[in-house]
Amino acid sequence: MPEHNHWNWDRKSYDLKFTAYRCIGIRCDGEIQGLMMVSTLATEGRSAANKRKPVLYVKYVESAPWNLKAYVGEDTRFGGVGTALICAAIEVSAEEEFKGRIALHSLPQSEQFYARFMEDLGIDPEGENLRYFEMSEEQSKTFLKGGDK
Amino acid sequence: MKMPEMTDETFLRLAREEDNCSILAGNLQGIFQKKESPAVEPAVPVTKFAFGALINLQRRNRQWTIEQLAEKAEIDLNEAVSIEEDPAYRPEPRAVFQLAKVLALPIKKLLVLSGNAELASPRLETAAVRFAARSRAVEKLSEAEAAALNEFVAALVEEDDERKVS
Repeated sequence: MPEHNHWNWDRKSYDLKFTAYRCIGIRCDGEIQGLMMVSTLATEGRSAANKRKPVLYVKYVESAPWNLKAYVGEDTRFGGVGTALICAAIEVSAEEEFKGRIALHSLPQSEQFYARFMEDLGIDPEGENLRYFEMSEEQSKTFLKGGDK
Repeated sequence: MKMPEMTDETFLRLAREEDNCSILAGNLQGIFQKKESPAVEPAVPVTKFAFGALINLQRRNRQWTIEQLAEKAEIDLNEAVSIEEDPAYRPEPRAVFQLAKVLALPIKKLLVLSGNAELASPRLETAAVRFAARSRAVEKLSEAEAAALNEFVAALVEEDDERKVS
């Protein structure tokens, strides 16, 4: 961006009161470029591959608006924020002994991104009618190797 | 458990394929709670007044109602009203983006004025303060404004009367 603007992450991250969540940010050029929050409490998987297995639930992911074509057209600053954050989520999942299994509720505009490497389990009426996605252990390994699900 | 590491080459390819698309997932509601009744409300930056005034004047310059603006920008009517009328209201970046599109305004500056990005340009701040100060109309109300005002006042009086009766 021509001016050195700062995405107002304070708005997103103030007053965090829960210790069962971990916040992971990507910082480049002294600014947060993307933010993710994961719950380290085991959540039971819903897909056939994850049935009765713990998954790491990604509570929230967002990229700074200046990295999104939808906001700034071709004038984006950094790419791969989503890829990097999903890698980080898989890493945390592995650390927590969830073997790279992750899950999230995607907003409509991001469904295409997640559908490429996660299993689409449809609209979740209990998840604010957002589409629910899960990644199995195998899918996370495939993702890290660069393949689609 | 150790997962295989993604190679730089793979990362770069996936990043290219990601193509700076939206990755928004989840919702902060329920995790973050607003601070409970702070003793002193933080002051609303003057630039926020400029943002509301700018949208208001741009809309009126096109002779659109707020409803028409909301419709064209595909944003919620409540949000459109809040943007124009409530300087403390901070619209979501999506709404700012939509407004920038329909009003042909620069998105990056609007993100700053709307409070979604921090101000780093003293020139923009000075211009915003001056605009906020000058945009307060002193001229006579237009017929449409007078009619809307009368209608609203009549509704207020009517409701007040009804309450007194009941």
